[in-house]
Parts: sequence; structure tokens; C-alpha cells
Amino acid sequence: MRKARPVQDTLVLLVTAVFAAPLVWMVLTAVKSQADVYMGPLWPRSVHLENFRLAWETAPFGRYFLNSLVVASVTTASVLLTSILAAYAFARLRFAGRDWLFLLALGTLMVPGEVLLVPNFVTVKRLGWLDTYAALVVPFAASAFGIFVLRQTFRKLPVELEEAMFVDGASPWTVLWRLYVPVTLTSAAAAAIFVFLGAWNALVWPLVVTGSTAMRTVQVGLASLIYDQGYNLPVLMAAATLVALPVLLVYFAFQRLVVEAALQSGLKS
Amino acid sequence: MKRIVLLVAAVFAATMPAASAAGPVDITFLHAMPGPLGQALKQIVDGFNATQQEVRVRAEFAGNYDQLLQKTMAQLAAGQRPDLAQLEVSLVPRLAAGGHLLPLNPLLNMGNWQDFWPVFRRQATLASIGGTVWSIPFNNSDPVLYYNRSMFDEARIATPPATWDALLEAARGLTQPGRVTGLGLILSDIWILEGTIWSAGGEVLSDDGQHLLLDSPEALRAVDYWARAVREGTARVYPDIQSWQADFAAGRVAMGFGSIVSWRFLQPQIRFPLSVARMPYISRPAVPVGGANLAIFKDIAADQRQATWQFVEWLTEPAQQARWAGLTGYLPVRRSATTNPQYAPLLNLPATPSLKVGIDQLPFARPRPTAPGYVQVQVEMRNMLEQILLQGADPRGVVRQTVERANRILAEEATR
Repeated sequence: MRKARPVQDTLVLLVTAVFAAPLVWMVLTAVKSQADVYMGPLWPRSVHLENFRLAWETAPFGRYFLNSLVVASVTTASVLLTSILAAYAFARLRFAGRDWLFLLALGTLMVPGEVLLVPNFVTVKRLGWLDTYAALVVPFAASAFGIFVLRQTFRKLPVELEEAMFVDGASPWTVLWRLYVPVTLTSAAAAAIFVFLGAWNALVWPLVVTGSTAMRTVQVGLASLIYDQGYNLPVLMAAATLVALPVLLVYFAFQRLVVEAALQSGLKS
Repeated sequence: MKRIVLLVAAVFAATMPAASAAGPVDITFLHAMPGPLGQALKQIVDGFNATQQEVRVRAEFAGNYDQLLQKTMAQLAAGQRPDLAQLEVSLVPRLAAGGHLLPLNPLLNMGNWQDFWPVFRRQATLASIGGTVWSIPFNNSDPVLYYNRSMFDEARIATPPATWDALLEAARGLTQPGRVTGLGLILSDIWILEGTIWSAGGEVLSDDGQHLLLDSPEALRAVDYWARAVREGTARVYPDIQSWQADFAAGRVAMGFGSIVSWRFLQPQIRFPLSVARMPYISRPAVPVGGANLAIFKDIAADQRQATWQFVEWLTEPAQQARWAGLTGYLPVRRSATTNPQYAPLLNLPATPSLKVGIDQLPFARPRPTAPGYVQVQVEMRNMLEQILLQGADPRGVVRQTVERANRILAEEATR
């Protein structure tokens, strides 16, 4: 039984409320009538589920969800694979220019996405990938952020463990997948959430490299509900709720791993 | 040898007509019309595709105007281009000056060019870049005054204010300290300031597009009207259209300016009777017209160019213009679309009272300024309004500094 800590508990609840408020408002607004958004009470007077139907019909959301799921999942899996391999090389292998190469990889974090838009587009076009899944996934299949997070975690592992395995005749490949990866699963999960979120929320890149409905993603659907002279807020919030749902599910699925990762990050081996 | 040449020529001759008969010419039309506006556009495009066999237009949504520009710029860098794109009017000069657009001077020789409202003829012809037509007016709107009819009745105001003096007077009558503010002013709506300045007899930009003219006595007079209303507490400042719309719908502000297109978004959100009136003026009526135009890209294949032109010509016909205006609430660019009674059912004015007011204002409408550097200058103008309206800074000093900064930007952009 833990001790009651009224001050801390109140603070935690307060911060939770601040973060949850926009989500609660989004869901409440999604079921209101337009006239109730600004004039009515916070709690909906009547439930208008047709907002979800209207939102769904504004754009081909079925196809968009499928595309976003494919793109975000494959991007996340690719980033994990490339990051694990690169992180191990940067953390443990010895080769000329290793630290310089690592700095170079980190440097890519400093380049804003807008700058990469045109060169990436030119590359993708030359490869003949416009309007394909490849254009949506491959440019983001490696991530300096993922490499950095995993390299730091790998380095915290005592070298003695690895050496013991080598003595037993294990190859670096075995060491990586049997020792490093299982032990650092929590960091990988945290990185995975960020990568998934990034891919799920991407808007400009999908707009630029795709042209057909068959290749577009949920954010494009959401964008088609926003107009600078005003919008139907309940329908927009209904669409936002639908689009946020998979992200929340992914988050909850990885939540335990992430919390453990956050706790672990404060410890030293 | 000769026989082979003849054979090749024969094969060529045989395949040529076959190639053109093989199917319609496809053209890509990048647009920035979301939701219901996008559906209206699709309806128009489908109509064109159904009326003829030679051209098939593929309308592609490319996000908002900025995202559409990003896509277009990326395509241009990769040696690719859309055939037709919907460009926000302030973006046209930059692309035209960069040599990316096809000059559309044949439009000037079209028999019905005189049927275009003068404001749209002026908007299409960029005096600063060779006096050439670079784009075709497409979805344009002008601002109007929206007001809460119930609040007007309560304050016993019978007619909407026609002048800025009457507007401030009405705002005083409507304001109930702590509960209701008379007028909402929106910082990001620079075009409203442009219209106010013109209505005071001032100018925003010099004809060569190199100087911001906000420090003239007329322009300063316009800025003073805004500052006075805020100082008196009868006007409230909003950062953007959405925050004003929220307060207006909730009955916390009685009046405000908005595009004629806003009617359809505003109306379903409110419970009181919504009314719309012409923009108030200081000494003479003047309203800005803004929105987006259609531009054809240079260096597209001859077939595509021909096909795109055919679509654009069809689109500017009065019947199409009346239909587009009726579906969206945007202004028709052709005069006959509004005067010829045969188009009245398409125009459907009773459904959008703001459209009627918007059309009534067209005789004294002017296109928004379009120098290449004006996109950045608008950011400076917004900062200027923020300092004057929110921080209570002395308008003269702030305006002078803004003019200096803006002139540097305009000069830099003009020499690029």
C-alpha cells in the first residue's frame, strides 16, 4: 500500500485533465449539432451520430485508412529494422570513421522536412515511384532518431555480456538478435510509437507524391474537411475522432512498454 | 531504299490519325477546393467531361493553396508539371515572373472579354509583369458585413451602416460592456484593411508594386478608424476568422467582416437571424476582390495545351459561371451570368443572400495588390495591426516603420 500524497496526486490529475481536455472536447463536439457547438452546453443535448456518416462520406476514408495503416506499419517496421542494425554498428562495431558517420546521421535530424521535399520528390520521380506505396514508405524507412535512441540503449548494456556470448562462439548477428534486441525492446517500442505517429500524421508529402484516391492517406481526407472561411465543426471533429482512434489503439498497445522505457531511461547500468 | 521510306511514311500516315482517335486527351487540374466546394468542382468538371469526347479533365485535390504551391514547385523542379492549377492570386506574379506560366493573351481577343467584370479583367492582367494575362479569374469573392439581426433590432438600428462613421455609431449602440462587443476585427484579414484604405481615397501599393503607401494621410485615416473603435471598447480584435465566427455564433460580438463564401459555413452554426450588408466605406465605396485564379503551365505538350484551353474557355461561359456561383457562393466572373435572366435558376441567389450583396459590390471592386513581395508584406501589415490595436502603439510611428521594412522587401523581391 503506497502512502497518500495529496499534492502530487492533485498535480497529476490536473496535468492529465489539461492533456485530456482537447480529446474530450473533440469527442463531445463530434456528436453535437452545428448550432450547439458555440451556443449549447458542453454536454451534448442530443446525440448526432450522423456526423460520423457525413465525415466518412466526405472523402473515400475506407481506402485512406487502409493506405495509412499499410504505410505507417511498413514504415515503422522498416525503421526498426534499419535502426537496430545501424545502432548496433555505431554502438559496438569498430570501424574507421564510425563516430563521424554517427554524427553525420545525427546531423540529418537538423534538416527540416521542407528542405527535403523537392530533392526527395525528384529522386522518387526518377525511380518511377510517383503515386505508389514505395514513394510513401521508402524515403522514411531509416531514421536518425531511431538510430540514436537504440544506440544509446545498446551502449548501456555491459560489454561483458556480449563478450561472454562471443566466447561461447556466437556471431555478432546472433548477439544482436538474441541479446541486444530482447533487452532493449522497451526503447524500440517508444521509437516505434513516434515513427508510427509521424507516418500516420504526414500530410504534405502524401499530397505531393500521390495524385490518385487509391494512394492517398487519412490526413488528406481530414484536410478536405478544412476550409479557411469556416467549416462544419462537428463533422470535422467526427473525422478527427476516427483518424485519432488507430493512433490511440497503437499507443495503448505499446503503453506498458513505453512507461517501462521512460522509467528505465533514468537508470544507469 | 525509296520503298522503305515510302513504307515508313505510309505507316506513319496510317498511325497518326489512329493515335488521335485512340481516345481523349487527358489533362490534370490541381485544385485546392475541400469538402463541399470540392464536390461542386467535381460536378462542374464531370459536366465538361460529359459534354464532349476530345478532352478528359482529371481534377486532383492538392490540399490548401500553400500545399498546392509546394506540390507544383516540387513538380517543376523534377521537370513535371500539372496542365492547369488553381493558384491563390498573390502567388501568380511569382510563378509568372519565374517563367513557369503560359501567357494567356488570346483571352483578350476573345469576343466576350468585355463581358468579364472590369475587376476581373484587371486581376487577370498583371501590369507589373508585361501587362500580360497570366491567369483566368476562377473562384473569387469579396468581403461583406455580417451582423446579428436580433441585436440590431434590440438596439433599434433599422438599417445596416453604410459608412465607417455609421459603423462605429452602430458598434457603440450594440456594445454591452462585459457581454457584447459591437464589432469584430480580424488581424489576419488584411484585405479588409486594403478595402478600408481604398474607401478613404488611399492606396496600398504603388502602381509599380515597389512601395507600400500606408503612410499617406488617407491611409492613416483608415487605420485611425480601426484604432479608435478598439480604443473605445466597441470593437474587439480576433487573431483569425474561426475565433471571430465562434464569438459571433455565441452572441458575444454583433458584427464582423467576412468573405461572401462564409455565409454557408456561418449560417448553420447560429440560432439568430443572420443578415448581410455591403462593406462600409469612409468617403467612397470600394471593396477588394480576392481568391484564386487558374493558370496554365508553360512547356506542356501542344495537345494538352489545346485541351486545357478548351476546358478553360468552356469554364468561363456564363452558364458555367452561374452554375459555379450557385453551387459555391463564389462570384461569377462574367457580367451576363448575373444580368441574363436565363441563368437566374443556376445562380439561385435566394439560397445565398451574401452572393447577391457580393455581386452588387462588383462595380466598385478592385483586385487585391499582387506584387511578388506582397505575400511577405502582409505579414508586416499584420504585425503593424497587432501593435496598433492590441498594444495601443501610436499608429504614425508604427506605420512609418512598417512602410520602411515593406519597401525593402518589395525592392528585394522585384530585383530577384
